[in-house]
Amino acid sequence: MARALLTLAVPVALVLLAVLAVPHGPGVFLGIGARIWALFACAPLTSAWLWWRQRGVLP
Amino acid sequence: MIAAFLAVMALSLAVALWARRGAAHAAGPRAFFVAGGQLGAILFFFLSVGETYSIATMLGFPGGVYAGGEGFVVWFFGYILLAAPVLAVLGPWIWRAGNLYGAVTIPDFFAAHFGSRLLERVIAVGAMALLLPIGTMQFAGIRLVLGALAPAASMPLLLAGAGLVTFAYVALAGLRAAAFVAVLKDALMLGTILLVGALALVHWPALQGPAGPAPQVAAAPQVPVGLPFALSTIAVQALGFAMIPQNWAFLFAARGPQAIARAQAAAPLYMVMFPLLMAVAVFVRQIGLPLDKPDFVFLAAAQHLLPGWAMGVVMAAVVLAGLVILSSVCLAIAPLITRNLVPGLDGAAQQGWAKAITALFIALSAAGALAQVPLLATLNTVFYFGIVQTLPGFLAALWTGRAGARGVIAGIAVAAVFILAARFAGWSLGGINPGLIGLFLNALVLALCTWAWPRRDGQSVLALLR
Repeated sequence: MARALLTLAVPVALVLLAVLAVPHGPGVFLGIGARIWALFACAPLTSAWLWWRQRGVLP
Repeated sequence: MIAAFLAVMALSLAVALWARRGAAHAAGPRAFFVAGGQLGAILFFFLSVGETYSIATMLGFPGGVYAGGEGFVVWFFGYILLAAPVLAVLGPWIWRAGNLYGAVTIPDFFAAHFGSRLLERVIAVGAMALLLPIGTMQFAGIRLVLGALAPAASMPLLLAGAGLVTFAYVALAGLRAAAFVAVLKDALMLGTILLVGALALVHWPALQGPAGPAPQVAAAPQVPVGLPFALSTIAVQALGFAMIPQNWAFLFAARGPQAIARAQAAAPLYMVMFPLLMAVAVFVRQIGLPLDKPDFVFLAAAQHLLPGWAMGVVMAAVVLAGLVILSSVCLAIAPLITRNLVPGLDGAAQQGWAKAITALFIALSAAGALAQVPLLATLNTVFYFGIVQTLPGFLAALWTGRAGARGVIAGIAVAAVFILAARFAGWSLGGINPGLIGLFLNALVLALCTWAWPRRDGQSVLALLR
């Protein structure tokens, strides 16, 4: 159970960090703000994390 | 444009026919409803990421961006992103639990584990109530696209055509057809977004500044999106994603837990096109392209940037997204009736009845989209809050043998009453999604019932799997 919670906690923390720690502001690139770019960056990081944790989540 | 559209539709039917040839050796309801549990990581991946590039992604997401809501982007992107780790963790366990009891549907599992026909029926009826408006939602999106493709044609006739194609997928090869057509759909979707996005970047207006407002249209994002609501809705939907009936069918269709974990690890990377989708919406705002509705923003950009025949392919990709989800919803609803509400049918009868139910469901959904029932959007939201409510019961089954059917039913009932009361009384709840509070109440009631009336003869799924 601890392994499962840890696997979930890291992506959740990444999303919360992107949404709560990066200030809302005007578009910085392609008209998209820094907060949304930070959120987009969570996707490859989550993918890498889940790939690394694959064995940890298998029953 | 219409010729290109029809060519893609014909290609999708050929793909479904090809999927049938691949399944020629398999027979029976398990082969029909969950592809015999034989989908490898790649086919399972395309089925399970259907939500990533759906009609909502192509129409609703850029429309929400265009209408000007950062909270909308946080909600939409956040829930699809976090659904992947949830499914990566729970998916392999759902597969093992389903395999343990030979389940094809969620109620199959609950009936077998808790030994309760009442619980089976409660969950089957609840799941059907959730799935009914989803069919209408898909047809509503398809209607928008077909209306733009052939404005002079009769809409009932166009929707009947879309319904016939969906029925053909289901009748030809069950869930295997949905999986194979999903590959075609996603290839077209990704190609379309890449092409339209790249052309938008090439034609990006020289003067870059903050995107202006969108005064030409009534801005109406689909969800009220303050930050507390966005974050709590992400939690409800990411958790609920693992309990959606068709997602259980997808999980049972996978060859094994490893295929599920591998596919879900790749799923977030698959969201790489979202910045381009968002950039397309910003592009349309900056060049001031006129729109009838925010949901037309991607199609308007495609129409502005692509030649006519390519526009036919774009529209076909969007319609295919709706048809794939429709066919998988048909395949999720049919066994709820043929296995859980009217049990005792043999394999051939289950498949026969499934086709009849599919036809009825398609006809009702198309009629709902034609009637444009405004209540449906509300129903869809309410029932999305509801689908996650089977999660406490599943986790209890996983970890303890002491939880009983009465506790699961009581938890679901308390959550349902609370959510409906909050919804119809208009309680604000500090901006928190009522589904999340309902989930906590559900878990609390289940824990109390388990403590007060523990089941004596039960064993946890974990114990049974050891």
